[in-house]
Amino acid sequence: MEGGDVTGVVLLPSADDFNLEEIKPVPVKLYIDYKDPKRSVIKDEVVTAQNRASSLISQRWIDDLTPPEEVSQPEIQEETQGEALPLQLINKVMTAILLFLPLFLFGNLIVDSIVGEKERKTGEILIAMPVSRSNIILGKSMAVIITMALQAALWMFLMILAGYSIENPGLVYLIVVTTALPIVGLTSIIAAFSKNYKEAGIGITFAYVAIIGFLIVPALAYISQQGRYVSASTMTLAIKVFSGETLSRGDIIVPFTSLLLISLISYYISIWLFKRDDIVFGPRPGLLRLLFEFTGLSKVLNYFKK
Amino acid sequence: MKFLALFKKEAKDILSNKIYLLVVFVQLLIILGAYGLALTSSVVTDPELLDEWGGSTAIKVGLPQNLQGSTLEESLKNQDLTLMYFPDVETGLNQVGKEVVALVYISNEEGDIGLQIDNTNVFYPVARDKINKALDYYQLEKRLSSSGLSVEEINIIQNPLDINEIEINKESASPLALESSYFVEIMYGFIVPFILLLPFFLASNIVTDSVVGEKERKTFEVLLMTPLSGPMVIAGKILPILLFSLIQSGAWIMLLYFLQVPVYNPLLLIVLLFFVGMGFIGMGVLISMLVDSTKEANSAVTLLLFFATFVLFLPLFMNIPALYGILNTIPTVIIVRMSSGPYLNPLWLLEFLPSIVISLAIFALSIFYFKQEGAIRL
Repeated sequence: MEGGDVTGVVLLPSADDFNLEEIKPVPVKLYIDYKDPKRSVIKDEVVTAQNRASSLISQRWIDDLTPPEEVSQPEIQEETQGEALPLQLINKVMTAILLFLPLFLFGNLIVDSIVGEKERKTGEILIAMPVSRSNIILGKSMAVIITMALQAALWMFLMILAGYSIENPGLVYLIVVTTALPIVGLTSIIAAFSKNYKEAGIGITFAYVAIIGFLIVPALAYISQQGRYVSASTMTLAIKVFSGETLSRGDIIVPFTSLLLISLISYYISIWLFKRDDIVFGPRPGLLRLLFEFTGLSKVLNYFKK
Repeated sequence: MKFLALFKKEAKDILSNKIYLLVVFVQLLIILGAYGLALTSSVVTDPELLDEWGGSTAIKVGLPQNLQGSTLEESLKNQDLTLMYFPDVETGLNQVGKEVVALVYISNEEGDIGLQIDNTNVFYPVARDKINKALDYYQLEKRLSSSGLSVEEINIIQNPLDINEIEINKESASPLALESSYFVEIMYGFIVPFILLLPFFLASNIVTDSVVGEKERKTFEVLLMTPLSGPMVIAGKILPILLFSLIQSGAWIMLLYFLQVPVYNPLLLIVLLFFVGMGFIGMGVLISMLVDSTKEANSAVTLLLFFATFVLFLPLFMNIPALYGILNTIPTVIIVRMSSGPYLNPLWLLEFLPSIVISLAIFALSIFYFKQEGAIRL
């Protein structure tokens, strides 16, 4: 132990002390080096061995004292209900993640579409066309949503072929595709604001981590608490639908209302940004200034300045 | 002197880039998140820790009212389980999965025990463990009650091995956030090497931005015409990034120490990380020589990091004795061994050699391709 070759040493009793004919504790010494953080691993392994050995010794004493044929002891009949948590994570959460994955794989399409116009300097030509800027953003977003919808349909078809159990596939598909709306909207905001691919890439990474958290965390909470809460996210709703569970009104109203609100706000903001020449062509104003202008606080400040 | 000018310029570019500084902050959040997750999952899956942290009160077990005052009730209470009483078994069964995790009841006239338990509850493993211990004691007590043994003797039969723990070096004990084998295994076995390598994943992106950025801004040719040799230019670009990443790793080691997860042999780890970092950044330079745009570089770096993660982290979960010779030279395996204990086996230092050789080879290759790129462009 001094050289660090071992973290723990177990000293078993001598043959004289180890006599199972008498019912007395069997002394065992465990030397643990507290300098090493792996001490708890050693202790855990020793306890596991202790439990196994104890069980054998106990059984020997019990059989000696009360032979099994002479005594009947109460039997334990265990019944479990529900699907084990690890299985639920695999069957439900992983299935849901696979269904929603296409929505995150195509973020680059909208970035390419909007930021690419700035990088390739084709933004001016596009704006000069007889198409309003809002239609440009909506048109680009629609193209990406349709691509995501086709991909989601293909993946769902392949999953069903592979043996995944997805009840109400039509409704599940609708939930997945409608979730694409705010995701593309939020990506459009980042793409409209970003000067280049690098910025957009980093912004999307952060945004997607937050979006994935928003989708997955309520789903995990639902799995561990089982049906006590309405579907806070569309992923939770999708899990309930493809598992064939009964839905309450709240299960449908809450996620779809939040989807609608976020979609409206995000497209409004991305169109508002894209309509600004300083955002499209530069020099781009700071984030705080944009925030003040968007919320109307800059007008209030200017009024007080006057 | 000229080399220092390039070094200073690159260092200034890195430190003035708000995005890189933001990513450092994100790493901090990832580290704290991983630590919190390891802590929580360790407590939730360990009955003793759950008792210590008062989590056992969340584990509610149902009993029919007619079992109040019985040995079965006492056995369950001894396991620090919170008991809820129901007027009858039927009512109790309906509440399993809602109010209670499990219901324990006498199922027939022979005195057999029924146990209905909710598999879906997050506390199921701990609850089952505690209930089984209580039922084992109850069964034992029932079986031995007619043999005239005292409670003390029954306790000895139940726990025949008396382990006397002798603490060595307690005065210089390493402070640990949690005395849990699961916590130690997951922190030192995966999270510590992951945290220490995190800055180098970012470093690959920084170097490609730096080099490919020069190409996109058309300043690469200007750089090639400076009176600096190829190795000097590469070193001038790489060293600030390497230093930036090493400083981050050092900061994370200090943070882990503050979080009571001591990382041992930190200086040797920094030496190892220096060479691993050189390998990552060298690969970044190589990719930069082969691509023409940031978009291509980012895609290539993503693929590189995917393979690197696979090669570095998969060995941590492998236990194949025939491959120990190779597995022991993987940098993450070395980090696990060196960081998880105060004792250092000098032979481990020999296992640095493959990482050093590979990193130097990648560095040499990046210089070769840089010179080739220079010849093509000029």
